[in-house]
Amino acid sequence: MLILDGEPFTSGRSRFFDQHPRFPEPGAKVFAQVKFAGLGGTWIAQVDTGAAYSILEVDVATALGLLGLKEPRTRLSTRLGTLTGQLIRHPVTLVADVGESLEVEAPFFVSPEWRGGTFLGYTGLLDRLRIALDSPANLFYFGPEA
Amino acid sequence: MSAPARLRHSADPPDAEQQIRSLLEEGQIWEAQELLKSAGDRVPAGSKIREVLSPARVRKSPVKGVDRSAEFHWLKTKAAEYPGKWVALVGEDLVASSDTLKELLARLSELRLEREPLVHHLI
Repeated sequence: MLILDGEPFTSGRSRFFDQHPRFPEPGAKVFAQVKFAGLGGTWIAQVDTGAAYSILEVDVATALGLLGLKEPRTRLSTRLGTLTGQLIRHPVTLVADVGESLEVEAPFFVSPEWRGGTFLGYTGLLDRLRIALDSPANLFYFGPEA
Repeated sequence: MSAPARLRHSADPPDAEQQIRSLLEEGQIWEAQELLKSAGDRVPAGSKIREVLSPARVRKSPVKGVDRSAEFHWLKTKAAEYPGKWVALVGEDLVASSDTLKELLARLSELRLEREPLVHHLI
């Protein structure tokens, strides 16, 4: 894994997908492989340090039984407008092809109004991790904070 | 004797947990997290608001991933043929597709796959 000043910097690595067919805007993005506690299969979530918070795709939130719970209500300003929803806490696993995967139990915004995909945002999730990209090779490195 | 009680109550500052909930309802999530950090035991350890807003917990996972290059290649080259569908891929094989995630998951539960599929929504 990556070493910084002689110490391990990250613990896992996975190949990421950079050309999501679902979003027509040009430009590569980082779509990492994740697993959700309570659902089988591997899923794709956009790693977005520009997104303040993490969001679950509405169908995924529904499948996990996370919509309509008695959770704190909030609003979130998104590229699709300001949405009303709830903050829930749920484990998501960053899946490593090489090295160790990481489970992160983090707050997610869920809303029946959200029409986008799942985002791993900065506050409360990415800000607890060490991350690095090898963009030409489409490799995403991650690890727990020291 | 209830009137004086109401007066006293209305003069009290809102408790920390209520303040945090109010901030959340206004969409001020970061401010709510900051207030929680400074609230100490004024917000009980077992409260829902503390549970939701506490820093993420990170731990190593035994989950082992596989190289998904083949699935990514399918998404790049075939996704346009399945607009709006939920798809499940194993390598370059489309093992299930459906208009709804619920139906896709039901189909997957009936299949015996050699490895877990990559599940994705194509819009």
